[in-house]
Amino acid sequence: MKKAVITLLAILAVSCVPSSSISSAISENPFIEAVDLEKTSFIIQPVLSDGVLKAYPDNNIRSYHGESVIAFPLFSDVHITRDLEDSGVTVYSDEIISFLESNDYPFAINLGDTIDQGTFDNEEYLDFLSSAANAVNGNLIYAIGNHELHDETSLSFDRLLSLLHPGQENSRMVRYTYGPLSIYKLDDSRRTFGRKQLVWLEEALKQDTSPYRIFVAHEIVAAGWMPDHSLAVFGIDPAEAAKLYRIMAEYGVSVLFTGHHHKGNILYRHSDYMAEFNAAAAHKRDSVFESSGWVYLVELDTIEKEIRITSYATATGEEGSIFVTGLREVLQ
Amino acid sequence: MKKLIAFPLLFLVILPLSAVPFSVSAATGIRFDKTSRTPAVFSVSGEVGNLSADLQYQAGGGLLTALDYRFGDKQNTSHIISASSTFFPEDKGGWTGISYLFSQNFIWDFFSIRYGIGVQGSVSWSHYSRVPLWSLAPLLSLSAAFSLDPIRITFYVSINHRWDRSWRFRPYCGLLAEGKINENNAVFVDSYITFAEMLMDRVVTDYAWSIRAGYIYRSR
Repeated sequence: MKKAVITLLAILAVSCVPSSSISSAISENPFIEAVDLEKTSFIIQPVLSDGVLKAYPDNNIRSYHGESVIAFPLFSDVHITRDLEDSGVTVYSDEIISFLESNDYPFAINLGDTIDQGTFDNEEYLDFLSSAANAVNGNLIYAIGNHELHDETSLSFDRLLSLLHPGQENSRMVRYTYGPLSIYKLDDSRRTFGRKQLVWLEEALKQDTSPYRIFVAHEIVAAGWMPDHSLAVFGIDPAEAAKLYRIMAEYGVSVLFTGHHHKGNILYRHSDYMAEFNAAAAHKRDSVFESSGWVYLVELDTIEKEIRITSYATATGEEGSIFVTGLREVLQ
Repeated sequence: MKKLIAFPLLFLVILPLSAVPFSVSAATGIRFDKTSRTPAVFSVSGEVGNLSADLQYQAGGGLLTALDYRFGDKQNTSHIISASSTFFPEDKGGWTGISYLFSQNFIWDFFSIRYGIGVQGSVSWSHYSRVPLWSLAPLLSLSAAFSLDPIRITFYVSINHRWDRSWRFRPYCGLLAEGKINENNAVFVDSYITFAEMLMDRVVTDYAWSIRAGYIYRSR
């Protein structure tokens, strides 16, 4: 009861703060200038004594050579240290690294909740992050999740990611480019995008010359197709979801990748060329509400105009379901 | 806006002719959350016999309508509620739901307690998506009211809220204060706070709060 009252008073106090403390700290549209993944390459090393990471420029640039299929690994909800808190949990850090190292991928997407309690100086977490980033020449696109908000140390997520991506002012809302592809990393870690972020998104999409666009964010937007607890709890405000769908439809965004739900493995096909793919957690938990642990290989086929998402069991590497949706090309 | 004006006028013209007790009310205020462009809200409601209807407009887009049919007696009341929320003009979408709520009132001289339990099923839709999304959420409410004529103050906690119907599980905590002017007329102030993700996470994330003031007329 006492905790509830304190929480309520905190909310009332915080409610006087402008709509989003992060978006209000960013003065310019963060999506206009893109980070070109063909021009960045870093080696990441954990400096465990300081509880930080350090990035050193590397010459191993991976450029787009006109390949018709852009392939990259994707994973979500690793939840390092969750096995210390909850029963029936297996965290597969090493297996995920092996998956990332299995091929020469230009980048990888991490949909957030990599750490369970936001303790960014955790040794296993820093090791995982640096190994995952090094597997893709430093090009690990890491979306902030709600568990990254559980910051119990003075090292904030923003500072951590600025170490991972030197030169990037903000880490939560970023546009990346790789050849003909624009990847918009969004922040819905607080279960809302916020009006400002969506305004910026639309402005940037109007100026974007990339023919292929995708979104990545942590929290699931669509929810309520599966007969599980997503029916009652998950999903963002329908008004905001409607706005996001309009933006995706009007500006040719083919897919939104999300995590958070854990059970995942759901493809919501809004239309032939617009979908949301909700990834399952990469860790395992023995529960009907969760999953046995999955990672994904995403292939954007610019000839067949389709997106193929192949699931692999994190623990064994065994191939699972393949999800297919359309890849929309925006002609300039 | 036309609907907002027509709605109470309809009640004021037709209902005085009826012998059935009725009430109409109108309120305005603000509802703040991270998604709304303009926080101003305007609401009207009417009640005749066992049927009540609410209509709320949030400036910048967003119309919430609800019809509540109640039956039973003063102590044990059942409600069947149909609610709908639409977003316009550019983000064409909305949600529609139907719910059942059973409530019990316990009334003493100056104090009363009411609890309610039920379930809401709803579907969300968008012009840009062919995927309807379903939601099944519990409805729970608990309120305690203190009356000392002419003031009545009610504290409440609930899943879902009459003026802020959510299509998903969303807890509310609020306070309603009503002051009687005379037997038929009263003014009121209603404020609440709501937050999502509280059950699934230790960090309170998305939240909204509202405060509104209004006037109510009761025929008897």
